[in-house]
Amino acid sequence: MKMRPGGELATRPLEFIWLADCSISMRNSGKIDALNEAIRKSIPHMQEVAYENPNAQVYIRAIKFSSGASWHIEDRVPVESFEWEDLEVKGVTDLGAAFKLLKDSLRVSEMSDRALPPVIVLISDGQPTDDYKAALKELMEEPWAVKAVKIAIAIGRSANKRILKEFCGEQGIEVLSADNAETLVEYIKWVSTVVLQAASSPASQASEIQTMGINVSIPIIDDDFEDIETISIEDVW
Amino acid sequence: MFIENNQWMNSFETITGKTHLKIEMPNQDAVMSEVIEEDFLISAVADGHGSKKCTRSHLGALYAVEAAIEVAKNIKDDFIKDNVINTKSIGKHYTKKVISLWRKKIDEHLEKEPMEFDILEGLSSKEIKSIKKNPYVSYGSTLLIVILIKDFIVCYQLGDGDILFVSKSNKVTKPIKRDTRHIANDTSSLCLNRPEKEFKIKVFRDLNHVLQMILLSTDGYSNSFSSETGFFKVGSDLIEMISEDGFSVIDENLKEWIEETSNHGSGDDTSVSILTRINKTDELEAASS
Repeated sequence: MKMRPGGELATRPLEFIWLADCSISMRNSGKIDALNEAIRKSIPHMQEVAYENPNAQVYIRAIKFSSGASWHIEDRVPVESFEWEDLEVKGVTDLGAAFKLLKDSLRVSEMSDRALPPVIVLISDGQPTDDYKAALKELMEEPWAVKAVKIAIAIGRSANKRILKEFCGEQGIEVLSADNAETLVEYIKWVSTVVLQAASSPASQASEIQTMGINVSIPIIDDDFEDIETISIEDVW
Repeated sequence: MFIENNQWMNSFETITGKTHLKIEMPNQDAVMSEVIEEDFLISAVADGHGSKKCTRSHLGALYAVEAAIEVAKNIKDDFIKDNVINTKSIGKHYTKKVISLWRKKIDEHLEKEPMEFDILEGLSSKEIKSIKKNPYVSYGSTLLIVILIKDFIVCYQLGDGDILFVSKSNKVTKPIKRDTRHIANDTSSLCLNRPEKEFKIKVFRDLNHVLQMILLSTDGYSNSFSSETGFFKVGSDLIEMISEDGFSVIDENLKEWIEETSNHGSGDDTSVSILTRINKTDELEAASS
């Protein structure tokens, strides 16, 4: 065969972004430790999914928010070399600041035309302390934010699920409630595998007929996740 | 596959992407070309949607390229009158007829093989309702067409995919710019309510034959390159190869090239049609050397 025409080939980039609540309340009942552990445990599973989908290059990024927001992992790290550094807690729950940072990274000028829909996983245990509503509205003006697969995990009973649902969108995926460390691990594993797998090979779709604003079909979470193990009442957040 | 007329040579191929082979899905792309008259050649590519609602999009893509060619044949005499192109006929009139024939083909297929919603997996009641309301959704597809008639070049684009022009000076351009609404696999489609409004149409008259190559491809091809520059390089590389080895180099290698490109890139179904107007004297010289 004569040498192939054209320049360098590349698989399609897929950004997986963690949006983690690091407010002081995340210290209670070991929630932040459980989150750090759950993400760390998910890494080999993510790498396995990425290996099985060689036509998508998965990159990991992470934003942490408490009093303000900042990048925990700013540069896009290929999943193959992804390592998790523990998050630490301080301050309040400035979710709006996190949305602003996220918006900047999802601007059309920042994203590749060839990119697959990003996956954004928001994890929080509380009530926003800033004007999250205006920031969310601005975020949703970015086409890539609309197209992103948005998942929210509410940690514990104090988390404001209504607000998390606003992030996922009216017709989006239901908020996942993790009331204990084991459930959190399972949910994190689910987004790191099932959701990542679905986002790695999305289907093309006519723009007017979308049902959820995204064109990634997310399988419904197994009911088994609800009763994975018997949990003692002291472990419940 | 290869066809030619007095002015143009055309090689076209389609391959099933690795991601579809893995899950035993059919190739949802289609490509077709035909010489209608010695000075009239048409080439079309289509990309059926992969969404779970679009279970028959491989047929939708096939019907799209068939309709593009059949309609062109039927109304060919309306396109040019007294050496002047009839923009109304080649524009709105043609695209409406293509859509109408595409729908007719689907209606006929649906009559023979109605949708069996109970065997469709993973569809919500809302999705089933939307298919019942608009069954064309199941056959959703993009469509790109190039008509080469006398000195005129007419390009049509509905949805994603690419048409590239390569000039005599090896400059590669896109006659129809990328639609910025289309990100994250979103696309315009024949299955929309008024698809004729979504067609982008450009007409060129190339009296001095400045254009030496046209390439049509589904998005699986351009999505496999790390940059647009890398994708555009296909045009200039092909011109170089043809000048060294003749046009046959394309016909002999095209399938393997697009397989390799998709496998190491997007993994998507990929269809490419390459039309070239390299001087046939040069072609003969290259072949004999």
